[in-house]
Amino acid sequence: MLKDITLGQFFPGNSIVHRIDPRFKLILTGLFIAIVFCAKTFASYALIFGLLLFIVLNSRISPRLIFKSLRAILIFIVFTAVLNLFFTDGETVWFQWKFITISREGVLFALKMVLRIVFLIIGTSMLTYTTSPIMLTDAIELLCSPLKKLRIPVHELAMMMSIALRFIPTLIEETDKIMSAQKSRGADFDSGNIVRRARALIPLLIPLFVSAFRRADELATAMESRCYRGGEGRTRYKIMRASARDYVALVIFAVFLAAVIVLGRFGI
Amino acid sequence: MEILRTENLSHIYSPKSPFEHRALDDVSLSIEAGTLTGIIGRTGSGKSTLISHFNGLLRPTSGKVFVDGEDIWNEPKKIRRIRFKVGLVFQFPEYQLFEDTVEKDIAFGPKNMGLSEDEVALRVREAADTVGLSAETLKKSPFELSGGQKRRVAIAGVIAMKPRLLILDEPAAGLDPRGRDEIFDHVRAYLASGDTAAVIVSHSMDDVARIADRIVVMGDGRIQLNGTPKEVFSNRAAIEDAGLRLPFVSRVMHMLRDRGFDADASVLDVESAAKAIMKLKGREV
Repeated sequence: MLKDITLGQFFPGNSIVHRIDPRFKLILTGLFIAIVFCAKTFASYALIFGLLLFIVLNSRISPRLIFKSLRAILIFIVFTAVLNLFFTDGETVWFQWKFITISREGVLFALKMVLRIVFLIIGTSMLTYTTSPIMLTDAIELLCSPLKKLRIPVHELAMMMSIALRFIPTLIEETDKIMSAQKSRGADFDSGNIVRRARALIPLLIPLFVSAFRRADELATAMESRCYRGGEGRTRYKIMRASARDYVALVIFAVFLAAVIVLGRFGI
Repeated sequence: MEILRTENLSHIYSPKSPFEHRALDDVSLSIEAGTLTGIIGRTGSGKSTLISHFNGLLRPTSGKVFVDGEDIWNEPKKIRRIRFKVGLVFQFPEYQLFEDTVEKDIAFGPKNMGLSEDEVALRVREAADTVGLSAETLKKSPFELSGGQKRRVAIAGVIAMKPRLLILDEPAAGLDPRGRDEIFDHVRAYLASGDTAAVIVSHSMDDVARIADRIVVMGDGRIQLNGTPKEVFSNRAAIEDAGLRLPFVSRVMHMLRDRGFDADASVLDVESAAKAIMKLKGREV
């Protein structure tokens, strides 16, 4: 079901990870991705693992949830591992049978690739787990605000994104309702071949579109009656203020990045 | 003759999760042909969950539902058959319309039943008649009709399947008093056609008191009261425990009793209330 997707879901909380300024969290996530891509040796991977463990433990998000989000991309991980295992050429051959060769280098490289993906997924999902979508779009808007000078409608784009996110649950609920109503009139959504099934969706999609347009219209009226007229001169209810904690986090991440690069240079 | 019966019906949403919620608890009731049953209860009392079991949209966690004496979950693959026998009209059904003409939209249900074209056309005309839609309206697009008209189209779409049991969830919500009376008249007209029954879910006590033959009061997923309107509304304590208010007329009569008048608290319509009060006055003056 749609509800079971944990990747990219927000879990409210009040941990130190939750409270970091969303703008910083975005930058930190960028730095984290850079750290993962710069890491070349197992010592660096150990460092990243330490950092990630520290973040996860401090976020008070249950590790079970994190494993669940990994399960969603399990096929991808396995695929990467298998490809790298068999198609990496190496000198130390450990196993050979017909055209299949497994070398020491292949095993190590596959392991690194898997770790890299796992780290990336966990690291970036920590951002969405601990930041509400609204805060996230606000942060993106603020970080991108210099682009306004280039006449890019940053505020409008961010507003569209928040509205889209806000209406996902509403639309899911609406779909559910219309589906039940059409099923009550004998609609059959789950049998027949592809063409039949696609045709069966018409009674679902038309009312859904009609209601989405109706909602958009109502929302526009509601926004206008509250004098919304774009981003100019608009103040915020929640003002983001960077604190010492945020700068400390930034420094820590920068140090990790430097460490990983240095370790790579010396091949440790 | 009995059309629908539930036996110890229970339903739990999201079992074994932090969101586990027991929406229905041991509900047993029976609906007889020719009757109009009103189901009332406050928001979250389990009304909608209950009616979703009647046509097999939801599967009971435990307990059974029988339609015409047959357990509807005997053959889960044939559950669609039950939906033609038990027609369910959802709240704000006008949002489910999708065809380009009213006629085609009403025909959606009968077509799904696999009826012949002639039969479908006949049923569409009959259903349109029952809810008072003109031949001219049948050719229009449902999207250019007024809200009240749209709702009639949606109700006709279910009536055209000629269900043995017609269920309507808050059919009068958002309609003006006249539109509301008309919808109730249409439901009555459908009942008059023969061996059918109807269920109306509502939280307007006044509506239910006026039109229902039997009333089921739901609260916390359980049946709190089940009886004729007179029986149910004379039990003021239980009604208020379920978080509901008595119909306006009964409230007036109960108030009179509270002030020491020997008023008949079981009357439900304005006419008999007026008579009862005149009788009191006659005695007092």
